[in-house]
Amino acid sequence: MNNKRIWELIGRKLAGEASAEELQELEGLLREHPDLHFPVEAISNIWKTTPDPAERAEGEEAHTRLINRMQERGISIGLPAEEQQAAVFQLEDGKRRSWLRYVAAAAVAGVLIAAAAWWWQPSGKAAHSPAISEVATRNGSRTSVQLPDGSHVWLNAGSKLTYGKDFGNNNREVNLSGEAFFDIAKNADYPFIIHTARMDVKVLGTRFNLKAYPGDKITEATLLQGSIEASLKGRPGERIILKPTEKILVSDDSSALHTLKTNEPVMAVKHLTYYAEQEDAIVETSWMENKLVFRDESFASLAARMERWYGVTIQFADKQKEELRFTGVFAQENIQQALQALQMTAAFNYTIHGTEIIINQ
Amino acid sequence: MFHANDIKEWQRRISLYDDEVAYRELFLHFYKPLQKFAVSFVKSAETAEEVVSDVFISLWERRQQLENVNNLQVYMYVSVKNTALKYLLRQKKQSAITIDELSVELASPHQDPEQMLLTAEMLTRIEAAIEGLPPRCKIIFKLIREDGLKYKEIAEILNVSVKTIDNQLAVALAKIARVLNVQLKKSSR
Repeated sequence: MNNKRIWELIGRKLAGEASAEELQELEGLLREHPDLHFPVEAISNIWKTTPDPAERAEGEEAHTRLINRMQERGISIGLPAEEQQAAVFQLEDGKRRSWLRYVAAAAVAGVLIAAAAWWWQPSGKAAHSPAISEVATRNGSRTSVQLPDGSHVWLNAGSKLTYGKDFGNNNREVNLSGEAFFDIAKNADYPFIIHTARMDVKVLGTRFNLKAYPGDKITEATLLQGSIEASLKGRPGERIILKPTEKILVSDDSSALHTLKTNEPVMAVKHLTYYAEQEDAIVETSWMENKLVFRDESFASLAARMERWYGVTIQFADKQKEELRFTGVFAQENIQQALQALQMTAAFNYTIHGTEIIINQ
Repeated sequence: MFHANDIKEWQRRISLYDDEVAYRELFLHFYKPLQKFAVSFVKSAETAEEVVSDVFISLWERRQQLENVNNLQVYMYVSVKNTALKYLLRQKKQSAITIDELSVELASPHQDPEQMLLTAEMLTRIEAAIEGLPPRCKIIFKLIREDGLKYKEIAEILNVSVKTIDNQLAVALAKIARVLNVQLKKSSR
């Protein structure tokens, strides 16, 4: 009797390698060897191993050590909790910001961090064309990201940041749609350039806020530290250098800033706005503290920001209400509480259906 | 045990999107089997972790090319083997190690003897029989049973023929059966 053949076939069966013919062959052989029934059954019973649950935990610990090792080597990966704390955004007076709360809120809000890639060559060459990384937030959520060059970017709601796969190698260029706060790592060799629809901003290492939502009439850059150079789309010759605490506003709607009748972008440099008595209560970057701050702002403009902030849609059934003006701060309030607070200073009514809000008389 | 589709998906996400979550999943999936595989070569749990960690670091650094890897499972095991051999070489402990010199550690069985229709004593004897297999036989037995690898994959990883795998597994199973038969005769006496 060829016992070896039987064990080969049993082995193949257990390993899931046996063909139909081999299984049939095995059945025939086993019929001739009833003495093997017990050991074969016993081996089949013990064959399956159950993974030790402790192994997953062991793997997780090893993963933490791996990430630490990679970070020590300067590989940009995994921003653990301690680092996020270390990266707490500080204004010049050194006051700490409630970043952890913000990060947690962003996580709960279901931040959409999508990394998308696409290829340039339509001819279909599957070669390694530079792909594009994308970080995006939905309305109602915010997130932060560390770029390969060490720069930190905090993305406000409904915003999108994209950059090429070669980012950090020989260029530091990103595209922004929406609003973000940048804390740029210094690198004199490669300036950091942010492209928006109306304005490009060039920096060497600094902290500033950039707001360029597609629907908004104004694109705005607010500088807190360092210096940045802005150039407007369509006017490449002109460069505007901003000093700390200054902000630049660019509009393609002339009525928003000037009375000039022109389709060219209109630009103004202003000082940033403080919303309270404290020096560091800056309106432009208040979103980073999980606050929605507005000062003498029209209801139309505020509603657009509330849409992004709360992830809702707001419609005006009564167009006159768009002209109402408000000053205030929302922090912990939900959308209903926020609307009720606004009702205390102005006469309007509203109805809520899910995430749709209608403002009426 | 292995979910080929999951692995393919993680591989794609890491390669195209620098996806750290997928990278973590891939690590958690492979860490323990690879670490044990590395222990067979370097005979130290710490060094084995370092070997696996090195392999994962280089995987991350070369993630753009990861899409081109045909069988990531095989790629990982082969990388671990090569990295482990390099470690041994550097430590000058050994210039090379053959498959017959591996020290294979098996997973501790989490089995309830009653469910297996076997006595605890029998299970212990079976374990002892497996434990006593020669290294070549043991590593093949382990990679099939515990790691769920295919014959072809093991052949590629260990640089042996599929025929060798057939033989070695048959040897292992026959040896276990012998223990069981002895027990059977004892208990039926």
